[in-house]
Amino acid sequence: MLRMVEASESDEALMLRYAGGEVRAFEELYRRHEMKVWRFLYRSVADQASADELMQEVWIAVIASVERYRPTARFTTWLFTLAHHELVDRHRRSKRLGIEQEMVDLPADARDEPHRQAESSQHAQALIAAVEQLPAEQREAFLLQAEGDLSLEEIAEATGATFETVKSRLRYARNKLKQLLQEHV
Amino acid sequence: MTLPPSEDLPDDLINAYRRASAGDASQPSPQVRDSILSRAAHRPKTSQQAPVRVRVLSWQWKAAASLAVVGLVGVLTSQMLHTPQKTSERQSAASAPPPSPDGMRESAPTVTADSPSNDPLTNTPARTTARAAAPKPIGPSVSVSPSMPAPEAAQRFAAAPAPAAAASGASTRSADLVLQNSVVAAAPLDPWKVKTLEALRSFYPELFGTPASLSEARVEPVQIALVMNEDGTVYETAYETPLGQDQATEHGRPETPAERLTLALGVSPLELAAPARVIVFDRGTGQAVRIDVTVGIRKSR
Repeated sequence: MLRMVEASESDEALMLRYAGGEVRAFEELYRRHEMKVWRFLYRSVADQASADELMQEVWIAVIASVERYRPTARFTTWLFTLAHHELVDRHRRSKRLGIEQEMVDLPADARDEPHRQAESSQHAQALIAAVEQLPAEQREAFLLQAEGDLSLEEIAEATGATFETVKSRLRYARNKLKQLLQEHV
Repeated sequence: MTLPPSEDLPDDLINAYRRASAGDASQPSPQVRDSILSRAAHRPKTSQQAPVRVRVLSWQWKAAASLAVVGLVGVLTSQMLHTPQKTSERQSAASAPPPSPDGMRESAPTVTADSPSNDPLTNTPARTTARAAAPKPIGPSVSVSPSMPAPEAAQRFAAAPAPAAAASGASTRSADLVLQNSVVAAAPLDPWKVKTLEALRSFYPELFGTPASLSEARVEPVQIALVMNEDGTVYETAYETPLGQDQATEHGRPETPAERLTLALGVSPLELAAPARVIVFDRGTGQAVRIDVTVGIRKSR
């Protein structure tokens, strides 16, 4: 018997229902978190194809892990932990550090992504570009907070860093963002 | 005077970013979305029907481990105090021919079922009249033994010689395979044991690791409560509260498998199609994996 997916149903409950075979529960989970995960990945790699690939890997990891899923933590934390691991794997594979260094010097509108240039708000575009220019660890901490809505403790758990390290990364990220925005103005 | 923004709370910068990000037109390509949803819909699945609630009582594993260690030490101490005469018996028996391989625990992983005395049918007279169906007779190759207290079981596993198992090649196989083989070989007439094993493999894969992961496996008995639907899918399961812990001590130790299911899952005995039972999966090597599964079959509605 199919059950309706209630809007108020928790992510954890949906995940367990999906573990029990209810595909609609997964669809609802995906709908809820699709853009958060996507933006987190996209801002991290700044490339549509790479973000697409990572997106697929993250959600396939969710599907593959559903049998082992235990609601001992917030689903969002678990989801972004998977995303973090996929990013780390990718960084290891592609040795992205060198590439990232090149990207820092590029103006945001110089990227080969027409839909991004169509952004109506220059300020919004500048802010997003500034986030993408942050050093990887600061950017990740910032995005986990802004997109994943994770607390400092949850960011620490997802990234394997200490609480103090996360706090420090966020502070640096904020300062750097303010500085980049002021330069833009 | 304004306080500096806390790193743990959204501030203007984060709110500004969220607004900007929400207006960003970038999104995953439709192919990616379709691929993910398609993959989700076609996930290989062992239980497709009923919603399953899995509860994990992680802190209780620690309590159970502590209890198992205390119990083991207690049993070993008590044995040391009471075995002088047995030692002399053993010495006299040393000249006797070696025991038959049947007595060696590590040679044959077994599946044991609880004894009739543990069954609600015999343990609870009031329920005996309420239940019409007796448990299925167990195949001749299945050993039927009285349920064993955890400390004794722990001692039994501790005494099981791992090197012998390694020498026989058992350690090169996964526990999964060993358990699977043991069940299939030992209980060909009872498909519910196979179904139970499948459910365990599906929901608790960490219990069926490779030999490498088994080295980190728990040595205390694992207790699982499991209620299955009549079609073999899982209705509800949980790591059961270890005996002597939590509700078990508050309300008295559960006497029957049915009562355990009620305590662990809230499933009433009246919801069951047949009396609940305990199935023990064990592997008699040094890396003991003993899984006590209290299992019940739920009536179809």
